[in-house]
Amino acid sequence: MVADALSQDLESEAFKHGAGQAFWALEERRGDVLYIRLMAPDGRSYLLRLTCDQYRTEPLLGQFVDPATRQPVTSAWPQGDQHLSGWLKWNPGELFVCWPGDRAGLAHHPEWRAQRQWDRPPNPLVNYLDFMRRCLWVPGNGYHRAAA
Amino acid sequence: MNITIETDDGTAPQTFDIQPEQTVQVLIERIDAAGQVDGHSLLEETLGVLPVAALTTPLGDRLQRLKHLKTHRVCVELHFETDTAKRWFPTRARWAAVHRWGCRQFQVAANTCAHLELRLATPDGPPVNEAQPIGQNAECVTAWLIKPGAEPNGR
Repeated sequence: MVADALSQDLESEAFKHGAGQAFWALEERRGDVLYIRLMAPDGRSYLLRLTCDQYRTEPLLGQFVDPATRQPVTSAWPQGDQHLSGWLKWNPGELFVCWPGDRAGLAHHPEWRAQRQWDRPPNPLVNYLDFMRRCLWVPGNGYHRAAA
Repeated sequence: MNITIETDDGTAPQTFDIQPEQTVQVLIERIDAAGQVDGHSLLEETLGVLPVAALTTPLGDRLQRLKHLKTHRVCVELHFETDTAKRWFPTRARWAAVHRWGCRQFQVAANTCAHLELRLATPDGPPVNEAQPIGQNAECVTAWLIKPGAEPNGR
């Protein structure tokens, strides 16, 4: 049933729209784990591993991983100013997404759980990816773009 | 020297008399004033990306490449808060050009502009990739310039 819900959301119009706009692309699914490539406005891309067990019940767990090793390492994370570093924790030994829609974020901030950020429309998957899209694409969010 | 701008939708061509010593910005402003098509985007179709620093430089030799410009255009109706404005853009212009114009049109401060994003059709419609071309559309495309809701974080 869990797999069915995730499959449905991978087929949702909102997920397809983001892919069609070249914001993201599904690289691989391994059970409840998705590998999704996020495109940045400077032409770089980042591989996001999304752990989706207990989908629609619990928040997703996101980590940026090295495309070759699929391990979370600092160099795999988008980086930026202090604003961005409030959400994306790219320091070695502390690689996690500090946002109310992420499982690790909630582990650090249990007070966020009541917001049920992961349970918002259009669906948990797109909700998460849209947050990452805004991190990368809205300049005011502080992502450091590579020089053209 | 005369520059002629022609679109493929039957509107009359526009001609502008401009000299090499005049700046890129002057030409953009004159094209904008005619209302035929967004001047900055149109010139970028031929000259490539024009950063702010390039706008105050004389047209010089570039004028030769601008003598006869022909473009496909698309109408965009842009909303920001309670304001609305329409403008024509080259179909190959990127959505970033709409964002740039919108902030100018609606007199949005630069630091606020950096926190806005474009959405199609409605304020909560699908987001637009500003690196993508606007593309062709028979109807005027409706877009909204909005400020996404604040996201809490761990700072």
